[in-house]
Order: sequence, then structure tokens, then C-alpha cells
Amino acid sequence: MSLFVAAARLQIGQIFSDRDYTIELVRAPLLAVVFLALVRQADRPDLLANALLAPILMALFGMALSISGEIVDADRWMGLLEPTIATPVPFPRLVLHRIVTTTLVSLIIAVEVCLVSIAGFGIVPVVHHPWMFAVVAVLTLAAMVGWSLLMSALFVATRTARTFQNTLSYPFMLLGGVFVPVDQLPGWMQPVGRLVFLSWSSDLLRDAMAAPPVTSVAARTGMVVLLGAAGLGLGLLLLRRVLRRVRATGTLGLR
Amino acid sequence: MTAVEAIALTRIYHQKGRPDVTALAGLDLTVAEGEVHGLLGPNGAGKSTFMRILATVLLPTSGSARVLGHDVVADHTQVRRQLAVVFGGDRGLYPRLSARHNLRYWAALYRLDGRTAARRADELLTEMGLADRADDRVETYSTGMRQRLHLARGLIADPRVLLLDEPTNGLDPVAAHQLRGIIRGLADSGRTVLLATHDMAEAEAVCDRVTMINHGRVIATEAPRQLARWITTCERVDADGAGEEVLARIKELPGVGEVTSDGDGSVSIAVDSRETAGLVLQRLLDSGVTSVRTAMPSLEEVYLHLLREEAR
Amino acid sequence: MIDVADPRVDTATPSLVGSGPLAAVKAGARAMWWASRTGLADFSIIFTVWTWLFGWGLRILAQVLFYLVIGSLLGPGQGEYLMIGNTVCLMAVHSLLASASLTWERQNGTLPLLVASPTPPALVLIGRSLFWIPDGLVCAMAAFVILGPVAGVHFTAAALGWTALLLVLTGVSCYGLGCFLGSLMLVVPDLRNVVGNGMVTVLMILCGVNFPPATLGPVAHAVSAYLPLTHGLTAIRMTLDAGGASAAVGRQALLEIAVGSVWLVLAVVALQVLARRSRRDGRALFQQ
Repeated sequence: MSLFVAAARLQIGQIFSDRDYTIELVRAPLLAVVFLALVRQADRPDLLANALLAPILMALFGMALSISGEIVDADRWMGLLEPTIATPVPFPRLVLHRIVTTTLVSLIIAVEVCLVSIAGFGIVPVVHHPWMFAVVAVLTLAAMVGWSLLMSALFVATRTARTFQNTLSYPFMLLGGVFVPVDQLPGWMQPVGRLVFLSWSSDLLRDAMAAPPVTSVAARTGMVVLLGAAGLGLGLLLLRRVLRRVRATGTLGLR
Repeated sequence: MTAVEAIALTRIYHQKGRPDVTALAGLDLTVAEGEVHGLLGPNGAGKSTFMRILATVLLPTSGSARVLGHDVVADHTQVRRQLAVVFGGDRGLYPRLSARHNLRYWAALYRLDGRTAARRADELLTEMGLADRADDRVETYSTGMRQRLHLARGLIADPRVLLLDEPTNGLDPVAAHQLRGIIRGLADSGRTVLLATHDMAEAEAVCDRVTMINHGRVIATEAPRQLARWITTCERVDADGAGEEVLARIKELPGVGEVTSDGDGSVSIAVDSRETAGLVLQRLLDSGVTSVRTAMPSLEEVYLHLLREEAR
Repeated sequence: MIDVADPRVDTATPSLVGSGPLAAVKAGARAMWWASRTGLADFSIIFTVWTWLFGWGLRILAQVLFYLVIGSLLGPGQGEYLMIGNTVCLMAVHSLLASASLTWERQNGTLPLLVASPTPPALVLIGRSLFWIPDGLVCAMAAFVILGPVAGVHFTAAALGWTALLLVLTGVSCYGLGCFLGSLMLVVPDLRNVVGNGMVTVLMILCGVNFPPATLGPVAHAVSAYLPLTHGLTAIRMTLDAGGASAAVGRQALLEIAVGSVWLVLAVVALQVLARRSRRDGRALFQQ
């Protein structure tokens, strides 16, 4: 069995056997109701794209944080980290495969939100620039994988998974501009927000859904790629460092 | 061929704000291929640290270790292909997945192709008596079943060297006996097994040779029966119903060592020669004690004796 | 010294001096007090001062700010509306954590022991998670004080004082729902976090947190009247608007108390039913 298939089967088994991992699948459609009702009640049809994309991006990040982020740490407290390191396969590659699987599974949420919009509010999502939207979506998912790897390594290195999982969610959503574009946040938040790949992704995805032509596509897409690659690079570096530390100092015990 | 070789293996743990801990202090050990080799020692003796170094998940501070000729540091990739490590207890399996799913996953990590992985998983599940529960979640398994599944996981890639870290820990006597039978069968198939255990009976029953370690060093390496001879060249004398008066007279005999009473009337008398054993037996029979026997010290007695000697 | 001939002394249960309803109430209160102290010990394991401040506290403020800026984008007055709604909703967020923390008793393996004790398990289980209410109150008040100015609103001391009281009332009312859900989760503990998180979001939809309850139609509006948070939030909005309490606020507060009481009674009943069932079939609460 190829390593990716084995890792994917494991990760899918893990996601759907642990009820906690399905929280975002339950919460996202409910949040979609909140945002769509808000926009309708405020009579702001121009914010429909915001209302549709926000719950999807929030859930994508939520799953990255709560599932992908604890892949390595969960294996550690299950006593599986060292047996896995002791196998011939490169550990970082295995972790990446599992993160990619989680990210792909989280696309279910996009389907859920669309269903809520259509069945609950009679609104059929329209994407005026579908190819642009597809490209940005793929790059966003790739960037999410990169940052998930960074979180995974960080959580196991610092043993602070629970703290970070609680802390990072809403600050990231705010700075990521998932509903309110970053350039409409208070001034001091904007430069910080621009370091979060989600802020570029969410702007591009909203623009791709809107009718007017999308401007500065290359530059903005490039930022998603750059920030995603930075997350991936830092994540790989940190994970390798964690592995070296495991072997050098024995800080992650057999028991 | 030598399956496992450690030369002056040392491992020091550095801890911030606390003194360094020396887990291995120049350990020398050789295990021949096809041997079942026991590692005995109290908690903190260095057994787990040694296993981790061999499994390539921990680097030594100094010295060297080789598995089937490959250095565990420089050639760790080669080592990982030929060695598997199995832990006791409840850790080391994905509890919410089935046994079959766990095995298929680990087979992929050991780079087995799909068909081989499926065949090996089926074979091992049958061998371990888990075939009819193969598709149940591991979290529904008893401790004995989990331990057999751990073993199956370790064997999935048919490794030439198997490290077992207290595999019967927490098992009831029946389950432990069953597992020991399986372990003995592994060696019969030509595999090398290194077994860390507290269980003296297990070490005596299963191991070809036993190494006693403490404070990160080897105290003794011998076949279990040979180790007993370390304490005494002859037997000890056990008797039931010997009174205090006859024991006092026996203690005066030259060549009589420790006399231990169980409190239920049984007594154990260590002797240094066959002649002394004869004298002791005579005294016992003269005093009317007829329930007497001679025996070699058990591995537990050897173990405790060696630890006491080492502490002195 | 206890005189066992004294008819007031119950020698069958030597821990109880005296008998009658007052003694039973005292014993129950004592049990709840110790249960809440145990819960507080749990709380101190979950959080240190630093992780509470910079982990939980910051995340809570960010959550309210997230909705505040959405409101600002939507239009005039919306920022304030969402800020107040999501701040009061923090009481629900905290109180509904009881739906998960109630199951810790099962994970600890102490449920059978509780059922075997003379004290009704409901008292202990309900007392166990009370620590969430003061936690929620501190978070909510901090959000009002820090984020009120961000929303362009300045509250008077009197208004904040009444708000604090109403927040406690709302928190206790939501706690009743949390305990009811927690009692159900004792049987299916795997679902505790999904149910807790899901219910918070349902309250956000139905109870006037982000938009008036009538927005989603008459059925949703009718349902909201029977959920905790709805009336408490209405009372708080009135108080902050008016700068103080009024008869209308009092009516909403009473409605909140009534709703919360019903959920609390449901929680007690559910726990007693489960305890009886467990004694009968050996399963329910006793399975690990």
C-alpha cells in the first residue's frame, strides 16, 4: 500500500472515530446560518460572499488547528511517536500526508455551507470568476497544509497544544480577514493581518465571487504562495529539529 | 553472526537545573543471532534506554551499538528495516481503529506492498488468536489481546531482530504464559529477541541467556541455570518443620551461609559445598525433620543477591 | 459529645447530626460546597494565571472583537449590537462547558461511588462545574470594559453594576441547560464537546445575540423564549440602553430565572433517572 494511501486511511479513520474531530463539521453550517441571517437582516447583499466564505475558512482553519495541529502530539501521548520514528519511512513525509488528508476532508464543509445557503436561505452561491476561484482555493489549501505542519511541530515542541488551540482560533480569524477584509480593520491590525496568508486568500476568493474584474492577481496570489511556503518551510525545519531533539535528548519518552 | 553488539555504550541525560542522569555507563553486551536474550534490572537500570538506542530513536552519548552489523547512528535507516520494537501496556496502538487497520498501517510504514501487508496481517491475526476480533476497535480489547496485537505489530515486517520491552506487564498468569509460548516460538524461527523483563519466571522459561544490568552497567551475563551457580557451587537445603534448636546447631556448622525462614515453618539454608549439605541434612534428619530437599537458587534469588553485592 | 440516646441523633448515618428537612438542606449544601471546591481544583489544573490571561482571556476578547468588527461593517449601531450580544453570550459559552465537565466524573471512575453514597449524585454533579460561572462573569465584564469603547459605547457604573447581576443570573440560567446536556452526555460522553459547541452556536442563532430573535421567523422566535440567554440578554440590552434597571428589565429577569429553573429541574430529573437505571441494569453511568 502506498504511504499516502496508508496515511490517508489512518487519518480518515482517526477523524471519523473521534467525535471531537467532527465539531467543525457541526458548527460550520450553524455559523453559516448566523452570517447569512446577519447579512440578510442588515440588508447587505454585497456581503453575501463574506457570509458564505467566512464559515468555510473558519472551519478549515479550525480543523487545521484541532486535528492537523495535534497529529504529532496525539501520537506522542498515545505512545506512538517513537515506534513511528523507528520505522523506515521519513516521519515528516508521513505527517504531511496526514495533514493533506485532513485538509481535503475539511472540504466537506464547503458543501455543507452551500446546502445551508440554498435550502435555508434560497441563495445559490455564484462565482463570477470560477477558474480564478479554483486556483486560489487550491493555493489556500496548500498554504493551510504548510501552516498546519508548522502548528503540528510547534505544539509537540512546546507541549502547549491545548493552550494554542484555544488561543489561536479567533485572533487568526480576525487577522485573517475571513469576514471583514483586513483593510477595514483598525490600522494597527492591518500590517499584522497581512502576514497571515488567509487575509490574502479571503480577499481573492471574495473578489473571484464578485462580478468586477479581479485586480493585482499575480501579486496577491504570489503572497498566498509565499506565506504558505514560509509556513511549510518553517514547519519542516521545526519538525526535523524536534526529531533530532527526540533522538539527542530523549525528551519524548517511550513511557 | 552477532545480532546486537554494544561497546562501551553510554547515555547521559542532561536536565536543566538538576544533576545529569547517567542511564548507561559503558554498557558492553553481545547477543548472538537467533538467541532469546533477557535483560533484567530494577526500574531505572537502563533497560529502556538501551532499547531506545537500539531502536534508533535515541542517540548514545558515547560508545557504539550495532544491529546486524549496522551502526545504530550512522546506518539507522538500515537498522530500522530489520528491527522492530514492542512495548507493553496500552500505548503503541491507535485505540479507535481496528486491529486489522492498525496492522495494515504499520505494514505500510515498513514499506510492505498491499498484498503482502494483507497476507501478513491475516497470518499474524490468526497466529495471535485475534482473527475473529480483527475488525473490532482496539479499545474494546482486553489487556492480553492488546499485548498480542502489539506483538503482531512488531512482527508485521518479519524483522530479524525484535525488541520486547516488558511484554507481559499487567497480564494475568494465563495470558502471560500464552505470550511466553509465542515468544519462545519466535526464537525457534531464527529470530533474535531481546526481552526486557522484571519477571524472573519469564526470563528463566524463555531466555537462552540473561544479562543483569543495574545503574547502566552489566552485572552478569549467563544462561539462567548458570547464573544460579554464581551464588553457590552447590545446592541450598530446604526443609519444613525444623525447630529453632536444630537451626541454631546448623548455623554453627562451618560452610553454612544464610538461613531464611518463611514464617510458616519452612526454612532455606545456603551451603558452600556438598559435604556441608550432607552435614546439614544429617542434623535435620537426626532431629526428626523428614521433609527435606535440595535446590538451586532461583533466578530471583540470584538477581537480588547480585544487586545486594553490587550495592556493597 | 454525641449522645446516641438523644432522639435527634441519627445513628444510621453518623455524619448527620439532627434530622428533618433543614438538616437535609444543610447536608446537601455542604455536599455542593465540597463538590464546587473539587471543581475549582480541576479549574486550577486546566489553567495557570498566565494561560488563562494570555490563552483563554485573549481568545475571548478576540471572539467578541471578531463580531464587533462584523457589526461595524454591516452598518451603524450594528457594532454595538453584536458586541453586547456576543459579550453576554460568553456566559453561555462558559456555562455550557458544564456539558463537558460533568462527564469528568465518569472519566475519573467516581460515578458509581457517587451513586452508592447517601447524597443525591445530582447535587454533586451540579456543584462540580459551578466554577465556570465566575469565570464567564470576569470574561464578560472585561469584554464590556475593554471593548465597549472600541464599539464607541461608554457604559455608566450603575449600568455595569446591574449588568453584572444580570450576567450572573443569565450564567446560572445557562448553567441549567449545560447541566441538562451534561447529564445526557454522561451516557454518550464522546459527544460532549460536539453537543456543547453546537448548542452555543444554536443559542447564537436563536437568542438574539447577533440579530433579533424574530429574524428567523415565528417558530424560531417562539423556541427562543424557552431557551436560556434570550431574556437575560434582552434585560441587559435594556439596562445598558437606559443606563439602569427598570420594571421591564425586572420582567425579563424573572422570565430568565423561570426558564433557567426549568432546565435545572430537567437536569436533576435526568440525573436521578440515570442513577436509578444504572442501579437496575449496571450500565448507564457505570460504564467506563
